[in-house]
Amino acid sequence: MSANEHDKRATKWKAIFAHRRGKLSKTAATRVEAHIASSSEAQRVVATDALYESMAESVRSEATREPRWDQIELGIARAAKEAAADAATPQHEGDASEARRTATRPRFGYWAVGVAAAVALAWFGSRALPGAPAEPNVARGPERPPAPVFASILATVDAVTGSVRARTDESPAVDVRPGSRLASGTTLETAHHASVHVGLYGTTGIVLDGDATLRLAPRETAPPMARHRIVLALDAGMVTSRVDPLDGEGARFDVLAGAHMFRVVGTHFAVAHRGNDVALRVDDGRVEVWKDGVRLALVEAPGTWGKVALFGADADLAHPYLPPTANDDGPTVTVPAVAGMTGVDINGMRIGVGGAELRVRVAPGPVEVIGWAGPRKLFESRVEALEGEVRIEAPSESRDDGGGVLTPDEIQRVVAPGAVGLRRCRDLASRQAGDEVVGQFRLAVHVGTAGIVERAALTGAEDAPSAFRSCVLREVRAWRFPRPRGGSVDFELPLTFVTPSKGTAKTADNP
Amino acid sequence: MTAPNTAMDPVIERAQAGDENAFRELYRAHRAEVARVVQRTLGPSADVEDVIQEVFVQVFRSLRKFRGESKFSTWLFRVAWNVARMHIRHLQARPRYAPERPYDDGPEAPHRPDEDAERGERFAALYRLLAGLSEKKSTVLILHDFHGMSPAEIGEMTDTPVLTVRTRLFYARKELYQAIADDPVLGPQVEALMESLPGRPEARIQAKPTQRESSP
Repeated sequence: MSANEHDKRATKWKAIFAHRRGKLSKTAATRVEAHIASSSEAQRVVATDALYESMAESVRSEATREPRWDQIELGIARAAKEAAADAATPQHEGDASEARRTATRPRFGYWAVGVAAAVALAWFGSRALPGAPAEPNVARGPERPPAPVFASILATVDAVTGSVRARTDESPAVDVRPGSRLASGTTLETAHHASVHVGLYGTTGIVLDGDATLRLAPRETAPPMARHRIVLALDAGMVTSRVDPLDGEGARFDVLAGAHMFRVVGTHFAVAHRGNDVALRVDDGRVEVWKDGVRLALVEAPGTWGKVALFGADADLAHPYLPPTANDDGPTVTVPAVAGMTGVDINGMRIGVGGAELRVRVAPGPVEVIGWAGPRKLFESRVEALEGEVRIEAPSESRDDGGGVLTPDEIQRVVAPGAVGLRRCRDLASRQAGDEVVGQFRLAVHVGTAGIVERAALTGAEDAPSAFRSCVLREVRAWRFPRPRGGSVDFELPLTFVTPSKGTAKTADNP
Repeated sequence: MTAPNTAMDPVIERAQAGDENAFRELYRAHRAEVARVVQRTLGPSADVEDVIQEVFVQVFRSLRKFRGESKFSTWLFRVAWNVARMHIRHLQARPRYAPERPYDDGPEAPHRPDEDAERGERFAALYRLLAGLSEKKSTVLILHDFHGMSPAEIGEMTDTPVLTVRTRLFYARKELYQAIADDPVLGPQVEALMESLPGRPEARIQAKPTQRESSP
């Protein structure tokens, strides 16, 4: 296009814009309208202008989506916490001086520490983060060797079954143990039947299954669609993630599997990656699937995407084990491998095991350990874990013959708020199946001596979608009752779903 | 928006002196304003809350430098705008992967997004195209069309002559419209609108927009 033609075209565009904004005289407007009627290019300009203006008007006039302010404030508080942790183990002169400044700034309190944290985070984000060689800097009791510690900590190992090793580009592979702190750039490798539970943001974590390789990727190397500070690059295997639903965006991360990016919107999901195949399963919330900067899918719970056969049997997704109050120096409990053992409850938190030894971080104090072989209780043990490593020596067979008592009120106090989760199961399953899940079902619940739902069964729902059944059972297993007096308790609940418009999940306790 | 303050707000002065309660007061008073600026600048992005958080971190870092020569709201707008633009710049500076065939695995392949998601995709496409413009062009368009600023205000904020702002607005809009017409998400919307234009000649429009490489 010559300069002259370019100028002519620009003049026409300007005339069209002026006409659309009512800035032309009647004569000029008539001329422009005639031009529009005869020119497809002019019509395209008019249509594009109309589309753009309507979108711009939407941007200007739509109410601001209310952000989760509490989460933003929590995010600043979390940054403050990270800064404080970093200040405790300075590994760079700049960090050390920043930590000193933070420590000597009394009046700004919460906010000022948040600012210091931001400085520290910015520093972390701007360097290559190669991962320093293993450098123990946490004092521990003599009975346990120190866990490896890397620079610029992103995650903490909370539980390990079997052999799990960590390496960086600059340091050889080392065994990880509960309390190991992992830096950006660290690669985790799990042996066959091994697994590792990693806490990412305190109340958010992941479970990496056996035969898997996962890298805590530096953000600088992540594809452009990644949006979070942590990117989990899953080279092989399966990773299950549980994001604290109360922690907003701050606790989220992206999972990269080959060229696919799984952008976390929801809270409980798993990604599997073998060779060229990838798969996603979402049990709670939503996950976006991206590739080459394009969103391929938005998968809502309960939902799957990709080659779901990678997930194997229709089992529940694992829940990351996240000790509520243990610090890195806190005690660990080791549960030996027991034939047939499929899971272990640590103070009511279930950890799946594949027959391997389990090592977990715990908060100092009494710890209740229950070993399971599927639904059958193998043993129950109580120990006092105050420091160092506490080993469960000889698990004894426990009795589980009922005979306990929970009052109807005690049951109702748990069941009533739990009905919300059951309704969500119905709504999600109905939406996915394209048909309403309605009917009367019965829930059979077995509550163990610790108040944990040890078994649950849903009858009368054989024709309901499997996603509905598994969702309901998952919700019920998460219920926590008071400790029954005198043993375990069995009871049944009628569960009635009417149409959504009338809509409630009605339950009545019937112990 | 840009008139100077004759006297510094005492809350700001207390905040500058390190009063934590004053900081909180400022935060409560201005957080909605910051959210609006960030959301309009970033568009439909899950990073909005992260960026709002970063804005306040920046505000509290820089508050001591605020001298009251402009309104606090003007100063705050600039901080929020700069943080949001820095965020966009950071996203654009990341390495990109080579294009590959989209994942397709038969019947289990992608879910269809719902209506809200489709609307979100349209706005995401618009913001993506804006990000494909030069920073100067996208700046004037976003400030003018999304934040409702006049060319004079944009000129003052960006230290640019008003005439330059006006010229830049025109050429930015022209470039954006060409990209919109060629965009796989927004292009069909334009075609549909063309069909409904009043006084359109009987002959159907045959011309298709020139294929351009769409911005990722």
